[in-house]
Amino acid sequence: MNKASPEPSNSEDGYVDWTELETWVEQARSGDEEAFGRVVQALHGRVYAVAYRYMGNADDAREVTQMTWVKAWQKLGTYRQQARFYTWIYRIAANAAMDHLRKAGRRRESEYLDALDHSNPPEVAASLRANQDRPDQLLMRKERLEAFESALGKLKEEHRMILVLRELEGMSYQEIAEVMKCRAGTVMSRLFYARKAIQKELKELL
Amino acid sequence: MNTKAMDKLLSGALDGELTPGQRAQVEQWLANHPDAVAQQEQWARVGDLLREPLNPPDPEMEWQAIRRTIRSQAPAADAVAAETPVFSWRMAWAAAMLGLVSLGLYLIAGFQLHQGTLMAHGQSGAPAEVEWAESGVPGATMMIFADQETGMTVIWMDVEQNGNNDTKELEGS
Amino acid sequence: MKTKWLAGCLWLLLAIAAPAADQIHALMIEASNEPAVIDRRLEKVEYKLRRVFGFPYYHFVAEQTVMAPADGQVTVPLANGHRLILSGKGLRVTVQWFKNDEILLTTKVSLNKGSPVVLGGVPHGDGTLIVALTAQ
Repeated sequence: MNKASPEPSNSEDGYVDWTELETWVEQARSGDEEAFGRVVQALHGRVYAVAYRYMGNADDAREVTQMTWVKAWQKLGTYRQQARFYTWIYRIAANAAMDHLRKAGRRRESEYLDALDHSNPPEVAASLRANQDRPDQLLMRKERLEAFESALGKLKEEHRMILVLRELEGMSYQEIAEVMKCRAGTVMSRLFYARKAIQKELKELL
Repeated sequence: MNTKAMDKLLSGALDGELTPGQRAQVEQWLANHPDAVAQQEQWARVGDLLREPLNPPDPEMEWQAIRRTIRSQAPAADAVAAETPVFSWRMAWAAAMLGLVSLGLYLIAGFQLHQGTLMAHGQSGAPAEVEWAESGVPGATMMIFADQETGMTVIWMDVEQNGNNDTKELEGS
Repeated sequence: MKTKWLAGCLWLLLAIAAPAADQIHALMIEASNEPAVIDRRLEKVEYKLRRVFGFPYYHFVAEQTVMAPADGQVTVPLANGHRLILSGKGLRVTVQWFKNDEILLTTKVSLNKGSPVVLGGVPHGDGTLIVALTAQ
């Protein structure tokens, strides 16, 4: 039951020094494109993971992640160091993801479920590859992952984003509240409803 | 305390977000309710599923793509800033005329839409009809199909890729 | 001076009020596995292509808008030696896709406004070329 704090990491070696990252951000603010590139590459995997879990498919996740970084570059001048960089970037990512859904004017639930129609989407495949299960266990894991992604897609958009930020990024309620522009109490309620809804949906699969 | 309020605290406890008083309440509840322990374990597994490994695109390649976008947008933004217009009566007059013409356009477009003579761009009507299609590339086969979901009609030329000279020529295109 | 302005505007409105001639928009795209930057020019069609075809990335190549042929033929120059020749009347056209002097594909279609016809399958590098024709 420990509170997980967001440890800096990237997809390559699992660790990036936040202090170093803030230095790069500062250099990027003065127009250093290469420094911004280092920031992007350090955090790209994490922003992509949040986008993927929120959007439910790799194509949209990739677009949202690209949009997030383009917007971040455009808005770097407004970034104030009193706020943690990762809260700032996730605020942009959350807005980009929610904008993407609204702009596309698509009903996310069906879109989300459509994306799971493939027999083995790359993300599920990656997850399965990471484990050395027996074939029957593998099948069960696959079913469970697909059912889980389907349940995730049925959550209300705000609830899904809050759950993703909490579980994937280990953000505190206060940090999520800053990202989502709501109260910490609201974060607590929405997290509870999100967990309850997934639990109800998955039943014995959990 | 009712069960729902306690459930919410159980969820908060999982995240380490309770006050010492609330934590004591939860611990006492857990000691007497084994089903609550099971519930918390299930919620914890939701987190485990979310953290299952993904297959993200290569960050370096993605950065190249992002950088191209940033660079392609930068000159346009500078140009817009440099060309910020200064107020003049001539421009105000031109703007008024433009407004008048736009209003006319709007009314006429509305009328034409009503008459069925204009269809907004991107709005799908009935799918296109294909009478026939043939390939000019030797050995290629044609496929024609309509995708109802997107409203697209597809005429696809399937070119044999193995040892076909015509194909190789095309690849240089 | 003001009378001339008003007469001009009136003429413009009358010209617009006349039934608009059909136009055909041709958009040439390269579909491939090579990562592509998000391109606003493909915004209206890319997500549709992705649903229908197996390629993950779509690169803008060229686009042209021409008047639909009025009982004659219209050439639509694209890029890298590719061009379309549209012949027929209005939106019922025979489309010929050329690469330089070589004919790649010929089809006869009746276009409907807002519903794209996608011609494709021409190999190009690791991907393939696509032309989306839309009547406007």
